[in-house]
Amino acid sequence: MMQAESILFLITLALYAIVMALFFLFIAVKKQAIATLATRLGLIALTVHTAAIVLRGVAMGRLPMANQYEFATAFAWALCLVSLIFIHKFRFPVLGAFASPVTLLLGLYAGLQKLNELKIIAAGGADSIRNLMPALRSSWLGIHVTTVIIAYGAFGVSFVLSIMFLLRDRMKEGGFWDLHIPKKEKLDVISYRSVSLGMMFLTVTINIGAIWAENAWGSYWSWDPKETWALVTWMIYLVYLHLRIRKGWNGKTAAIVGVIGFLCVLFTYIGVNTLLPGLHSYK
Amino acid sequence: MMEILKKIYKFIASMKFAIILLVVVAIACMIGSLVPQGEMFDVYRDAYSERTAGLILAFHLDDVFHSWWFLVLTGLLCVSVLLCNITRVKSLILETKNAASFEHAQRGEPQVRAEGIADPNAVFKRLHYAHPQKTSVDGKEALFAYRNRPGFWGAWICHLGIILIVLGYALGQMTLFSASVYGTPGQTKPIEGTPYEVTIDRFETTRNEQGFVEQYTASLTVRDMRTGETQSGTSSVNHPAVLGGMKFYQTSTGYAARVTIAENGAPFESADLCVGEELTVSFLPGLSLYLNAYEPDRYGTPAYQVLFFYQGQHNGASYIAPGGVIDLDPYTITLSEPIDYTALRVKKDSFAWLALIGAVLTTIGLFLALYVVPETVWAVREEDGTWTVCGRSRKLAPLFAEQFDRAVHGKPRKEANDA
Ligand code: HEM
Repeated sequence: MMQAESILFLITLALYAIVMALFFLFIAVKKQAIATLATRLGLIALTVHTAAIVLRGVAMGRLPMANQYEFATAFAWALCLVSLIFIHKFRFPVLGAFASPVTLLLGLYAGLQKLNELKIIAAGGADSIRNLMPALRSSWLGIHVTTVIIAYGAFGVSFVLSIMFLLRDRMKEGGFWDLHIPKKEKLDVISYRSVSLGMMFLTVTINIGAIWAENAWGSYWSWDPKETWALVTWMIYLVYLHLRIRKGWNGKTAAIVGVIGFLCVLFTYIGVNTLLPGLHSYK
Repeated sequence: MMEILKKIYKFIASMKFAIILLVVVAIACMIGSLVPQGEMFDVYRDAYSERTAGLILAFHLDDVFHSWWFLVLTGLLCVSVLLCNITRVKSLILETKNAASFEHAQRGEPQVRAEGIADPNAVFKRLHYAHPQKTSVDGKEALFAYRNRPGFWGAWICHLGIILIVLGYALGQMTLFSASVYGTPGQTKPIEGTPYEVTIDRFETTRNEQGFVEQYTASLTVRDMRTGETQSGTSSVNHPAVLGGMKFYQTSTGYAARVTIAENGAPFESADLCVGEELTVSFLPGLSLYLNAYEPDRYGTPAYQVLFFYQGQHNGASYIAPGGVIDLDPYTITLSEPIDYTALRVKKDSFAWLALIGAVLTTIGLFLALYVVPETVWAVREEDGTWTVCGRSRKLAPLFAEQFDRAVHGKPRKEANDA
């Protein structure tokens, strides 16, 4: 079953690469049919990816979102999911050209984590990957990581949109990006929608984390690095929301904060586990 | 004087101040997580430099989250949010009222406008307004609809929620009762600072087939020493027991040994000694032994490490195998096979409920602010019999314009990315 999962994961990566290539082609030749094809293939990639994650869960006999590999692959999955939803909902295929490289990068990062894991398994550590410590054996884990994954996916999309905004902002009227990227107002408002989605889910994640911590450790907030960084991320996006409703606000500042917010997301997700000690590193 | 106070009030309640404060608090949190907290000067000096270490201590960067300046910042944040909420109540009530008024909608420029519409009801329907209000303006027929007025209150509720969270957390921290108790099955220990004692009736470790721990479960009985009343329950990881108004958390576990003391082979004293505990023996005043560690695999065999103290002075250490005997003729001290002990955290936070209400309000407020966006649509019948349809969205103008456009044209447009 582990092998089937690995194969599906590799197919997913290959599909993500093809989807990306198709979206690039769409940007180059501007044929709607190519965007439609890319989006459909994206949906297939997402389905295969979902199957890989489900298989992983079955193979492990637990929720497949408890270590770096599982979390990275879920992150890529969520980014793909939210991008596809936004492409569909806002009739916005160009987003695919910018979101697919980020998705692929996250997928490749997950691949690296998987290689590490294979080394651990080869050294006889398979059981330590399969088994969770008692504090993690909770039904809160499922909700907590699912909501945070969706939040990260949404923030990923807002990052992509902020980059598009900044590119568009730098380019002269009538330049290349001008022809291919929607107006700034639209980029800004869709970015606002993705930040909104991310904020909703991050807020729920933090609340659930607090309730869980209260049950597991007897303290709903203990300034553990992961907690603290989730709060930092939350506050940065709060700054984003407040910036947007200021009179005479400037979309560029919000876009820059959107980029910074995602860097915080990445640090919360990768940096905290690798660089800082705490309850959440579960070494 | 009043002018200055007014200005300060206005600044503190302003969005600009909110943004600055949020950024500053976020940076403070980053520092608090990047600088190791609660260390001594030497640790910082070795990690950074003499000067940096001095600065870290001077600015309380070794304990950011309890430092006076961090408390001041969070306090300011609450005051700011509170003032903002107080100032905004009036205008919010007015806005909410106005949003239901056709007259008011008509004033000012609409965000979107379409002329020459034959069937305005179809446009309303496509925008999901089933029953627009029939009204009139200057003798002309008119239609009017609005929705999502609770959205006006989203930010307000969110702000209130944040105040309650901070208040609940602060009060909770100030009045928090917290203690730790550990022991082996059968032991009864007082809960320091309370009139209660707890008996550990049982302690079990559940393992799966691969030998990995799945759960630790302690069965407890808490006795009120004033009344003699008892209450029993079980505490396992993720499932604290609530006994005597306190919560008992299963926090960790470790090894203990049953120590039996005998004189000429006749046992006269026995006690369970957890790793990290000291036992004062009765037969020789001034002598105590300290169980420093249990090593399941010391050169292939299990062993306890025992330290001896005589009149407070460290007086040697030795490794003793489980079942082994320390001979102090005519006395013997025997250490049993290791027993698991349980470590419990006992806690009472009387204000967690306040923080919980705050969290719920923050979440609801956020949802209202971000997903229940007020919107107004109206149509006026012109002299030529066609209708002019207009609309306004509080926050999503570009998206609303697209939706409106589609509703007016009666079909989804194929490509919207050039909109
Ligand atoms: C530090 C002081 C703060 C001040 C003075 C402040 C002020 C404001 C003001 C004036 C608005 C616009 C209200 C409206 O559109 O109805 C607003 C919106 C908002 N505030 Fe605050 N705020 C502060 C901190 C916070 C905090 C800590 C939170 C976190 C819960 C928060 C959450 C929100 C939300 C969610 C919105 C709505 C955003 C949107 O509609 O996109 N604010 N704030």
